[in-house]
Amino acid sequence: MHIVDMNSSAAPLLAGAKWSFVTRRVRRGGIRLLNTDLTTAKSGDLVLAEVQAIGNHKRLQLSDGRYSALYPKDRVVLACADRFAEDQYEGIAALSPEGADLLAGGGVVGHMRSRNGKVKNPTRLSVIGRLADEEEHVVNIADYALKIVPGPRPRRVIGVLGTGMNAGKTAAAAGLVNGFARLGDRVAAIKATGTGSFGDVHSYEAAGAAEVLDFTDAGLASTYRQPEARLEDVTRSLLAATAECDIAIVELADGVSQVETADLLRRPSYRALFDAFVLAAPGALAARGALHWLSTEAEIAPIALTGLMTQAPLAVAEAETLGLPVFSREHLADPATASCLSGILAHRVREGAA
Amino acid sequence: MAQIQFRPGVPGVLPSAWLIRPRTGSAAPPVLAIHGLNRETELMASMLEAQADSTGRTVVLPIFDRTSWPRFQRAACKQRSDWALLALLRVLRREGWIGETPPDISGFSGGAQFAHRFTWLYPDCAGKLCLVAPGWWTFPDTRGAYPYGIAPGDPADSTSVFRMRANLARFLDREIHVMVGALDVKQDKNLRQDPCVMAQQGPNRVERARRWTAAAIRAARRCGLRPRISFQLMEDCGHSFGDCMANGSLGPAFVSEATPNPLVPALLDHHHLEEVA
Repeated sequence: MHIVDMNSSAAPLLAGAKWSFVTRRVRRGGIRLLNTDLTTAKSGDLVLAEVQAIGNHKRLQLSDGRYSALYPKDRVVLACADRFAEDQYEGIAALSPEGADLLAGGGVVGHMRSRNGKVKNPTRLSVIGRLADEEEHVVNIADYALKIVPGPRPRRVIGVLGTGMNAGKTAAAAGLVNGFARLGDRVAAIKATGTGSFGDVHSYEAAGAAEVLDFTDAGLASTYRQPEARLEDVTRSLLAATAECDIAIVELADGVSQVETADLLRRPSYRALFDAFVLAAPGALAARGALHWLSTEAEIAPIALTGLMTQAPLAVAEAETLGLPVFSREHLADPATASCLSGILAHRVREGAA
Repeated sequence: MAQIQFRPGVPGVLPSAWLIRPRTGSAAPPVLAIHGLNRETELMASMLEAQADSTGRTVVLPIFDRTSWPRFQRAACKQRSDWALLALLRVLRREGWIGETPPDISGFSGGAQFAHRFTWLYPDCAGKLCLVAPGWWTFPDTRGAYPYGIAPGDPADSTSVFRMRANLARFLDREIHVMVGALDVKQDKNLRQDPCVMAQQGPNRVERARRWTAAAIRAARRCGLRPRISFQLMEDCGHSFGDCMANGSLGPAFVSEATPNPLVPALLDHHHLEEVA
């Protein structure tokens, strides 16, 4: 073991460090020691690092919801985790004395395996060590996850799926949140999978969600390469934590055929957590492909289409030939649409119960 | 006597309202009384005061002022009078004027236009409907393109059409009492007289109310519902709320007993409805 007593020589290393968004639930007073053995790092471990070279991510999302510009020699507290982002990086939860990569602005550190050609190399970090408590236990963000007792879920649950990144899922989820909130419902907004980032959380809060949770609240900095059974437990737990809400809007990251999302949607027990799904797509053809995938692979028939394509009337006209209503974000934020979707959900619940 | 109070609103955001609280408080759901295009809410409030007392029901008269909501009767209009009413209901619940139970909604003339469209958009937000002498209707069938019916028309209306079609059964699954004065057959300036409306809905409010009632009954049956939709012609009444209150049976229908309405079966104009249907 390579343990450094934080009360003596290592303590100054942590002073003034920037704590990232994914570490926001950690009680900092419990951290006493620094573990410099990086070979056993696992997803969720808390990492103290120093910025060496600014790359793609020039800002860090802080635990208090603000951005902070990054400078060389900044000390940052991050979580080791995997990353899956087609438009940025694929990375794994691994640390090395030679350095590590800032894989996501929410505070995910690891080793980049590939990057989209349109983005720069990641911001490069030196790893000082993993943070540990006084019993030499390396602190993991799962240690501070919501303590959730399995229980009922909100009365109604709508899942927001997409054809891929940047299909308009978060805008659609926020629109739904706003529409149901203005109809008078107490709305929970949940990001069930993805990489920790405060952007989604802020969008949901701005839309009027009464409760906002994401997988980081359940102890995961990223859901990439996590066992599907654990991911199902995460969604189940987050729904149980918001059971007092009238409705939950649950966004799943990436496209429906992304490996974890696909595995989850294929599970009948996972689908049973939802009353209905909407699908966000950047265009009609993408929507058609995703609908086909959902039908054949997951027995899912979304109740509506939405997404970036709703910015283009021609794309909407083409998408309407798929036989589903096509709602823009503005339509979804209309309580009249929420009222309509309420009726559709109630009908589905009755049919499911019958 | 009942207590009448004026609750000021916020222009363009929250309608002002007359609130009539009966002498004896009641747990019965409130009644929303929606004015017509002339916005005679003060007169309506004074005329409904006694009825609020006798039924023990709180009556709310929102005021969609001409500046903020000039075309309030369309509900999902540019100024979104439907959103304004949702906001008012939320505020009145928070202030303890009304409870969580959906209110019954009664509307006269343009108020009846608003009432049926609002309830169609928000079926869970309303109880019984009393619709009196609207100038024109949104029909629950495809004989007219939206907003005259629910047939597809302008592509810009596709979301509205979808919502109305999806909500149709929930909208019709309630007591709906349609009333109109027997003398309300004049083609006045407030009566929409486009050729397509004249052809689809009829030349005057009486005929339009009859046709809509029959269409609603047919639509309810198509939805697998047992219709609770009735029609009443008020003798010796024209297009005047005051006349209908004084000469007709409007009061007990507009603010009815909270229990199942005993008036409706006795007042049905069954013969004519069967003819039209």
